[in-house]
Amino acid sequence: MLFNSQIFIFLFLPICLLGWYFLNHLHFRKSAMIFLTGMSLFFYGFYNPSYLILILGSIGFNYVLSFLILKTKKTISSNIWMTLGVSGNLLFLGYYKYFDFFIENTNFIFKTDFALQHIILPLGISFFTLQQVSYIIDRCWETAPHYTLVDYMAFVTFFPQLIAGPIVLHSELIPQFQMEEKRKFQLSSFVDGCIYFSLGLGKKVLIADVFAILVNEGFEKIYYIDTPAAWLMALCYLIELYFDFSGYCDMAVGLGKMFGFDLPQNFKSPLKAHSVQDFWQRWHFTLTRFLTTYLYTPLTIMGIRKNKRKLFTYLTPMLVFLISGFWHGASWTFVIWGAFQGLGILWSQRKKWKLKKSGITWFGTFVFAIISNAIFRSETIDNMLRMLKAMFVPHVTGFSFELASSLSEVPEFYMITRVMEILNPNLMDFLYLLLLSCLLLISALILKGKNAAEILSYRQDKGYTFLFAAQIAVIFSWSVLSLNQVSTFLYFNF
Amino acid sequence: MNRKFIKHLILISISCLLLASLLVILFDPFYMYHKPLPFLKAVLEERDYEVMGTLRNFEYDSVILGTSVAENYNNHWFDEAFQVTSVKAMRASGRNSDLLFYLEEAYRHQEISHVFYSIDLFSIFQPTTHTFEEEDYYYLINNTPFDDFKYLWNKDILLKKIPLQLAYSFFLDYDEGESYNWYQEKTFSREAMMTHYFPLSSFAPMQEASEIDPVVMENILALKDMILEHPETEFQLFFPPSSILWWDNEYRSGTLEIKLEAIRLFVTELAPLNNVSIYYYQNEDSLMKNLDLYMDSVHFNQTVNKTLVEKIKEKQGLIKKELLDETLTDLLNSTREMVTNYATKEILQDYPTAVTP
Repeated sequence: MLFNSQIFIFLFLPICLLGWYFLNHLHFRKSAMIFLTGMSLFFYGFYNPSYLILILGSIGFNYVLSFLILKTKKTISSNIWMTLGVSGNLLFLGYYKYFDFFIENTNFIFKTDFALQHIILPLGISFFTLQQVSYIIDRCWETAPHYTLVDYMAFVTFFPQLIAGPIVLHSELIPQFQMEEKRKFQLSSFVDGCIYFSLGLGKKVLIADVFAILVNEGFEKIYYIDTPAAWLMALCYLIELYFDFSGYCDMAVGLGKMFGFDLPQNFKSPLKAHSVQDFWQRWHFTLTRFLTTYLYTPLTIMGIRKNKRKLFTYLTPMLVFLISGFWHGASWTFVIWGAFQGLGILWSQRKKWKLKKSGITWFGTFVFAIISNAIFRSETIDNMLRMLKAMFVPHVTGFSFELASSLSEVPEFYMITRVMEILNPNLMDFLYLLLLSCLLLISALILKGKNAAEILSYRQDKGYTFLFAAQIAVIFSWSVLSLNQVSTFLYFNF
Repeated sequence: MNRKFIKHLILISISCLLLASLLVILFDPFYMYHKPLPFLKAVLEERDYEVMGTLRNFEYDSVILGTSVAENYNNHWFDEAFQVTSVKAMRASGRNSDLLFYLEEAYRHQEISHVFYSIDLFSIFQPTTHTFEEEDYYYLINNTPFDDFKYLWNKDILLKKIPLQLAYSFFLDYDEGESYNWYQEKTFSREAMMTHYFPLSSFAPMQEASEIDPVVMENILALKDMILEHPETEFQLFFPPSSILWWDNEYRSGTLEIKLEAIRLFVTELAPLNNVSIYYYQNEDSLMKNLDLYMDSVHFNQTVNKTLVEKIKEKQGLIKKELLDETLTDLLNSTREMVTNYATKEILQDYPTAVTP
C-alpha cells in the first residue's frame, strides 16, 4: 500500500488510528500492539501477500538469534552470534537484491551461461534488514535487551517506517511503545502529525511527481540529449529525488506522530549544505548514522589499533560509501556513485585549502550533488557515460525545448498551453521553458525556506493561525486531487 | 489552540474536496451522473471513459456498436437515414463480449429500436468474457458508488476535461455527431498504409474451415441470445470492408478459409432471425482495393464510413434471407476469388518483390 493513495489516507489510516487508540483506551496494551502489527503486515502484504513470508522469516531469524544470545551469554562468545546474525541477514538481502547481479557479472567475466532468477526485489527489504542488523549487533555489544516478541515485531513492522525508512533503531521506538503516556491520544502530537503528513504528501505529489515527468522523458530519450538538457535533467532529478524521499520521510514522521511516536528525522535541508560531508549529515542521515555506528567507527578504531590511522582515514570513507552505493541497488552505477561520494567526503576532510562557508562552497556542493545524481539515476554504465558526456562535452541541439514540452502533461499547465496553442503556436517552446523556469523558481524558494521541522517549530512558537490551517488544508486537498495517477516512491526501489 | 487548528484543517479540507466533487458532478464530463447540461454540448472525445456514461444517461433509441473501425461514423448520418437518435458504444480492439456488455447496459436504460453493429472479424475470435474489470477506469464502468472518489477527486477532470467541455461548448467548433472520431489526426494514403504492411515471404498451409475455433460459434450464439431477447429491436449487422492487404495476410497465413467460415457461420445462424438484417461488404472491389482509403490494413477513412451508411440505407449489400445458402456461397466465393487473385498475381503491382506461389 502507498501513503499517497486514497485507500491509505481515507480507509487504512483511520481504521488503524481508531483501533490503536480504542484498544489503548481500554488498556488492552498487548492487543493494541498485536493490532498495530497485524495492520502493518496487512499494509506490507497488500500488493503481494507472498512478501509476508519473507519479512516474517527475517523477523523470526533475528528474534531467535537474540534469544540465543540471551540464553548462551556465559557459554558462547557473542562474536559468533554477531558473525552468524550479520552474515545471515546479508545473505538474505544478497539473495533477493544481488543474486541476478552476481550471476550477470559471473557470466560476463567467466563467459558462463548461468540462468538469471529474475527475482523481484521485495519491498523495504534493504531497510528492515539494516534495522535488524543494527539490533543484532547491539545485542552482541550488550547495548540492547531481548524484547518481547510482540514489541519486536511491532518495531520491525511499524508501517510508517517499514518500506523506505527512516532507519529507526530499536532504542528509539520500543521504549516509546512501552511508555504509558504515549498510548493516550495527544492532540498536539496528532496535529503535528497531520501537518508533517500533508507537507510530505504535497512534496511528493505536487512537486516530485511533476519533475518526474520531465526526468523520465529525458532518460527515455537519452540518445538525443544535449548539454543544456543533460544539466537540466540532472538538476530536475536532484529536485525530484529530494522532494520524493524527504516527502516520504515527512509523511512517515507525521504518521508516527499521529500514533504518538517520534520517529527520527531523515533530512535537514541537505541542499543548503556547504560540503559533501555536511550534505551527508543532512541527507538520509539515519543511513549515515547506521553506517557511521556500525562501519565507519569500528573501522576507524581498527585503524588506530593497527597503527594505520592515515591509511584508514582514506580507506574508511571510500569503503563506507562504496557499500552505501551498493546498498542502494545492484548496479555498477551505484558503486560508481558510492565511490564518487567517497571522494567527495575525502575532499571535504582535507586539511589544506579549506574554504570558509560561502556561496562558493554551497555552489560547489550543489553542483557535486547534481553530477552525482546524474550517475545515481542512470540505470546502466552506458547511460551514465552518455549522460556525463552530454554534460561535459558542450553541444546544443535544442533538445531542452522538447524536454520542457513534456510539461504539457501536467494538468495545472493544460489550460494555458491549450490557449497558447490556439493563439500563437510558434511561442509554445518559450512557454514551456517559462513554465519550467517557474517550477524551478518555486522549488528554489521552497528549498531556501524552512523545512518541515522548522515550520512546525516556528508555528509551535507563534501559534497555529487560521491562515496556516487553510494553507495546510489546501496542500492536502490539492494533493488528494492529484492522486488519480498513483506513483510509487523512488526509495521503494532501493 | 490545537483543537481549533484541527477543526479548521478538517473543515477546510472537507470543503475543498466537496467543492471539487460538486464541480465534477455539475459538469460531469464523463456523464457518469447525468446527460450534458442544457447549455453544454455533448463532448465525446474519451471513448473508454465516456461510453458507459452516455449509455446510462443520454436519451437515445439506437446504438452504433463496433470497434475502432466504426469510430469514424458520424451519428447524424444514422439519425437522418433511419430517423433515430443514436449513440455510439465503441471499444478499440474490443471483443464481441465487450460490445454486448455495453448493449446490455443500453437496454437497462433505454428502449432501443435499432442496433447498427459493425462486425469486426477480430472481435468474434476473442473469448466470450468482457475485459473491463482489468481497466484502471473500471470505476466508471461498475455500479458501486464506493470508488466514485476516483472520478470526483481527480485533478485531470477539473483542469483538463471540464475546461475542454466548456471550450468546445462555447468557443470552438464541435460536431456532436463526430463522437470518438479520430480520422482528423491520421493520414490515409496508399503510401502511408503500405508502410504498415509487408507481405509474408512464404505461404502457410491453408487451414480447413472445420478447424475454426469453437469460440466463434460461442460469440455468435451470445449475440443470437441478445437478439432473441429483444424482438422489438431491429438489428442491422454489417461486415465493413477490410483492405485487400488484410485479406492477403489471411491468405498467406493460411487462415483465409477460417475467416470465411466465421462469416458463413455468423450469417447462417443470424440471418434467418426476423429482426436481423445482415449486410456484406467484404467483396466490394472498389472499397477494398483502393488503398488510398486506408491508414493501415483495416482502418479506412470517413468516405468509406459515409458510403456504408448510404448503402445500408439503400439496402445495398443486404443478404437476402431467401436461398440463403446459395447467396452466401456466392458472396464468400467472390471474396475468396478476389483475395486469391490478389495474393497470387495482383499484389506484384503494389509490392513488386512480394513472393507469389
